[in-house]
Amino acid sequence: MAFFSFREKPAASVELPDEIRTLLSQYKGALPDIEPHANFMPELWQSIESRRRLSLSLGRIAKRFVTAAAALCLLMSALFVVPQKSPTASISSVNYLDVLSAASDDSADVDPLPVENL
Amino acid sequence: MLVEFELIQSARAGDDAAFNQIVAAYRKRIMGTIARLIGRPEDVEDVAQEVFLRLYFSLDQLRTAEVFEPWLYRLTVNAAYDHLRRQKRRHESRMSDLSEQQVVMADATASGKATVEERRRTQVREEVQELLEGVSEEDRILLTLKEVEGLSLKELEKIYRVNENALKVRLFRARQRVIKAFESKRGKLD
Repeated sequence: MAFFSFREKPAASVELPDEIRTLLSQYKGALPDIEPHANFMPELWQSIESRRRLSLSLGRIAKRFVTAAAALCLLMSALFVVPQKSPTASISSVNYLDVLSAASDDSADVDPLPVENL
Repeated sequence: MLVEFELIQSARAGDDAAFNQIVAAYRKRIMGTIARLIGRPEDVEDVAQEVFLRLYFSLDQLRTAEVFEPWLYRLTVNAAYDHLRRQKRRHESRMSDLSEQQVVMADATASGKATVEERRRTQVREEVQELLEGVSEEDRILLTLKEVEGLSLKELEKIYRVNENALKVRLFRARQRVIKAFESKRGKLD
């Protein structure tokens, strides 16, 4: 099953010229050993602490934001629910057929126009 | 591995002393790698601090002992890469931007104090830096890890999290570009 055993052929390797290879191999020895400063660990812990504080305060801000958003949601839902209980809500809850029948009842009280007047 | 996995687990559980031990065990090796990757000895400590800071805050993601070292190398490579990119943005080629070491060497050479060996080392450093400045940060890091650090393809696979073929293609292109940079540099000199 040639198809399944197919694999991407690696690109032909390019060998670096000896001059570059030698230069790169000498480079490791050409750099001095760097000894860490005496304050390395205290400074590292300072950075850790400050980042920890930052993430804590960001967490607190996020929590407050979530609380405020939840409160806003509740307030908005309350605002949407309350108008339905107001007098205007009863008007809007009457359906179209009721309005029509009410209108036809009203028109029944009115005398039709005499035919001779037409 | 320079530390036991139990030590890593203790550090992960919040044991600061265990974390200190891990840093102490790997600090020198990591600083050496960073020095070769960025080529500026005076910035090595800052980048190393960033590596261990990232290590501290990502220890809980570590699942097995075998991946610890490649993973630490990966953090190192990423921090060095970020540093090189920042450095490129504020690239200046004034005397004030020369590394402290280069300035010290320049002074020493001027006053005739530098030994032959020191002068040769400085020359190698400068030539390699100049050569690597001719390629992208990505190529620079890959070439340094392969040709200077001497990492195998298997080790690089774990660091880069790509398969061997993809890595060979990247290496192939990086080598081509460094050869081109070398030839253009030589062309300028001629």
